[in-house]
Amino acid sequence: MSSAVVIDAIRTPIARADARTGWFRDVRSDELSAGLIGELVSRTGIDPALIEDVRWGCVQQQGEQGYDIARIAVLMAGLPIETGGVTVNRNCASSLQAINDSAMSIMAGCENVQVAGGVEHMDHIPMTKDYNPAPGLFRKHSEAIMHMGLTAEYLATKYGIERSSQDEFSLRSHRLAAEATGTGAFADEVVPTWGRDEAGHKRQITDDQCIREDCSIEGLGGLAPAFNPAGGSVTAGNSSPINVGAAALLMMSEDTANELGLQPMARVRAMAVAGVDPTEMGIGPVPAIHKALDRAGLALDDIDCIEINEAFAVQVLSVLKLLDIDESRVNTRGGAIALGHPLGASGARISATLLHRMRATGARLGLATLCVGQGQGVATIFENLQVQETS
Amino acid sequence: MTTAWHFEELDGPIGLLTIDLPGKPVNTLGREVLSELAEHIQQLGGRDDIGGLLVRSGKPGQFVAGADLHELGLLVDASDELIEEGLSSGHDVFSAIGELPFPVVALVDGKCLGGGTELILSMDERIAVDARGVDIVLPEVKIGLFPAWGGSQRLPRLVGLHHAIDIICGGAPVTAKRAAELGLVFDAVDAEDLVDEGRHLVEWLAEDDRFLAIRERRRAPMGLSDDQVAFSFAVAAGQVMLKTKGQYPAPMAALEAMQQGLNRPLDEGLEIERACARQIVGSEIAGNMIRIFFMQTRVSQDAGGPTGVEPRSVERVGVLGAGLMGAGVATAHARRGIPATMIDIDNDRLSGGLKSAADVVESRIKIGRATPADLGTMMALLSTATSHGALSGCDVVIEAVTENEELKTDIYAQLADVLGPDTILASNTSTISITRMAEAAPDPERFAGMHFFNPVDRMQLVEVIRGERSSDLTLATLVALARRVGKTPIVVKDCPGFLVNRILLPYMAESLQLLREGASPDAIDRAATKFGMPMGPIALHDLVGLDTALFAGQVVSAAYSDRAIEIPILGDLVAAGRLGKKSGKGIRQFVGRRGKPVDDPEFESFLAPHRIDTREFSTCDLQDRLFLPMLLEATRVMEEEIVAEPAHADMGLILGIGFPPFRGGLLRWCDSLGAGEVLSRLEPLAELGPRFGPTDSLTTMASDNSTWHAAPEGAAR
Repeated sequence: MSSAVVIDAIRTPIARADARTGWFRDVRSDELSAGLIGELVSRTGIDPALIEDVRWGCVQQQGEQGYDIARIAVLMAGLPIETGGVTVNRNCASSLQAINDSAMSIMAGCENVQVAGGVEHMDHIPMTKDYNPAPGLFRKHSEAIMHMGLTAEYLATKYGIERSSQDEFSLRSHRLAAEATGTGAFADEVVPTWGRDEAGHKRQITDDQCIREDCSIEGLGGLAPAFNPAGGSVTAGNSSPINVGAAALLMMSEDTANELGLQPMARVRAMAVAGVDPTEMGIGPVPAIHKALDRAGLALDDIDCIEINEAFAVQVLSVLKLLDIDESRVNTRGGAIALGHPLGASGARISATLLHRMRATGARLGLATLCVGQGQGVATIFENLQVQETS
Repeated sequence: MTTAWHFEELDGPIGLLTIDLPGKPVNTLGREVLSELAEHIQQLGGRDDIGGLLVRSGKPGQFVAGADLHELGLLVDASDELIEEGLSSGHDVFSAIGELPFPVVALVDGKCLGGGTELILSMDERIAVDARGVDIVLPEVKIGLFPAWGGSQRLPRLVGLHHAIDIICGGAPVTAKRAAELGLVFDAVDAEDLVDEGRHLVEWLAEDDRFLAIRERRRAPMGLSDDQVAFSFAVAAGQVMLKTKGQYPAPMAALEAMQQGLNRPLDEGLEIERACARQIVGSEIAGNMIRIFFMQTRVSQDAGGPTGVEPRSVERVGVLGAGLMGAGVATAHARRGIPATMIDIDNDRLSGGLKSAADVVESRIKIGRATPADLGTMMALLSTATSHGALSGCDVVIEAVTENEELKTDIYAQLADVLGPDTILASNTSTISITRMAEAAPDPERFAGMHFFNPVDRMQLVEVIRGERSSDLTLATLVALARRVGKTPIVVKDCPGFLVNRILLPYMAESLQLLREGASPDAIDRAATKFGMPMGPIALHDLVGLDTALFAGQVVSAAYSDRAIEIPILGDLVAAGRLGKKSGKGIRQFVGRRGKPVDDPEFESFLAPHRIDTREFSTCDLQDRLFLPMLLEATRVMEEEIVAEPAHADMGLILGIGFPPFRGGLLRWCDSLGAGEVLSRLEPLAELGPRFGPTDSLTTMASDNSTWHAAPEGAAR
């Protein structure tokens, strides 16, 4: 079976989802997607005629995100008509699922050269649009499982994660993200993208909008709990914001990469999906990571770099606690709390950040994982192919 | 030197070229203006010190209104050389703009039409101001032309084929915001940011010579596959044919130019465009439509009424009658911000009237042409009452009650105590003598006719009828009022049928006569629609109502009994309750929920007793029979000076009955045939009756070779 490799990974800057001040407030999801896919093609120099499929994560697949936005983006990007497009939804992990699906397809000898990524525009198509859950679902489960903030609060209670720890972790996210931006660490992954600044001028955006340079413990501490006003610990400050953005990876079989003379960033080593109780959806990564490690024949200690999507500080901290990992390997360029969590794009976003971290530090093995609403986790282990192996 | 263009240097240096035609309300690209521009472009071509060029207009709210229409009008009758020159004048300078050694950005903060749009398409980028009235349009197809200064080639390469077809073949305005969505402009910005954003964009374009790479891309073949080309054009052609019924060649020529040019380099595409344009620019249809445009402009400035009379100001209008017409008239006023009071005998009728009013706006809300706020605003200006007292505060009162002279004159008598000393009373009657009814009005000098057409919200024409004693002030006020509510008024001297119905009814009567002689309803209608009418006379009978047609027909034929023909079948049908669409049966029957017209075998029993022949007619035969009486009546209208000039008769019929614009108008059609030809077509029909007798004006025109409309100056053919 062939190996699936990643040639390049890029993303747009991530904007706040706000109709008045969001930098992508008048940029459509399909435009963001098509633009980024086009950039990936020109950056890698890949012959578009070789791209067989585009797998694109997106959660709210309606309006401008409907009608298989992957295929629409393919047509808008001017890729050949022969290139397919499929839109994937596994809620918050959609684009990591897209990456995994691409890898499986490549490994199985099906479509070979693929673009895997995702997008979400949470201002144009809000999370709650057309919310219509089945009463039958709530005969078995609490409606609260549909509210991520409440599941986060439950984690705080169940795993004993204090407010102060959550705030500290959030501060860390902002600090590291601001540092990474300042040192130009994101320059390799972020593609300048047309948007509109707060003053209303059409400009090329290069930074992530939600990073707070002025973030402080006092500031975070002063925020009221957002989901359980009477005694909760999860606030707007220690949760990820609502965002707009896209990310994309070019993937193919290792053989094809060699034939084309392309140097892959990494190989997909293992992948897994697992379900957990919807009440504690935030720990979804835990069983997913175990399964992926088993499949890869690895131990957690073998992993050099980890990216856990920061849906909530409490959720990451719960996972770290359960897996007994310390922060030093985790989200060293900040995470979703500072950078943002555009749902359909986050899986590919954290993968892009992970792969560039690995390349920069020479790390050998990396792990990207996300928790998923209604109780799932997805994990992918990458192996760096640009490290000099001493065998 | 006209000094329409002014060049200055801004910091950078960046150039700013401003167009502002001295003493003119709008900027147009006439021959001289274009050569002046060409000189500027030539000088700028040698400037290697300039970072970029911004182009804007010096007239607030007006960017460039297109080519000089007067010159355009001349081009239509012009020699091939002149046409070629006209095409080149735009092409050459626009191509030169595309060769300037720095980026060029248009700053659009007003209306941008036709040649003005093609001007900005020749530049590297465009920024528009996001404000009402800032529209970018290519309206050429509406006057029988298409964008022939590069628009058909540059626009598809800029916004893609689909949107280009929409914009060029539709001719509808594109707002700044929509233009930004389409990529027609780079952005829609606030007015105060326009120059700064232009500068910012110029700098971005100049960086790494980006603008050169972009220019190359925009000159390249579009690279559409055969399927994509065939599909797009099959769909577009189908839509155009549906709309134009093949009678208006311009949109099809535009499609042809786009289709043939898009997969070639721009230069070749431009040549193709010129080839397609040559056929259209010199065509008679284009000529007719441009002349109609001029006629419409003239008629909207001069309705044929008194000149130099200051109209009285109108703050409030009263409408007597809340039926279909009354409600329509009140609505027309309220929609344009004029408070209107409807009077009728009971509240049921009044609420019916209010519902009609609301329906007019609601139907537009459904298609995105109005907002719920518009509905609220309009309804707030409508009031109702059951007593005449409510009319005392009105400056103009329009009477739109049932078509019954006694009823109307009784009401006028009652109004004597109610209306103010300056109030004008106008009747919406379609058949009754204004001069006679004036005697019953409080003051005959302040009485006239104000005849709206049905449905009021869609019919632009208003006949303002001058009774023998109607004063100039009365007429001037009604003409101004009609304009205020967005209508085109034409002043008509009082006579039975006024202008439109007088000319229409002989055609309607003739269609029924043709039934008696053996022509089928379908054949008659088809002959008329082939001629260019929106619907045939049989269908029109059923639509307006056979009772209405009967009544109006009786009034007109009584008045012109020397030539009018009796149509007894109409009375029979009405007596049997067959009133047309509104009763489900007329000449045809109307089936299903939508009232689809189909043949009714029962009709034969009504026709049989009136049948006088069973002959075959060719389409030409039918057209001569239908349209020559119409034409003859129009010549009588002119002889009797019922309207001031032929343009008024022509516009009245185009607006009132949908006479085909591509023929230029009824009298223009007569000119195109020549009076001599008309006479020879009448000859074989003379035996049918005096209605086919040549009129004096026609006979004179045939002998001295004159025409109704003057030939344009400078015409070479």
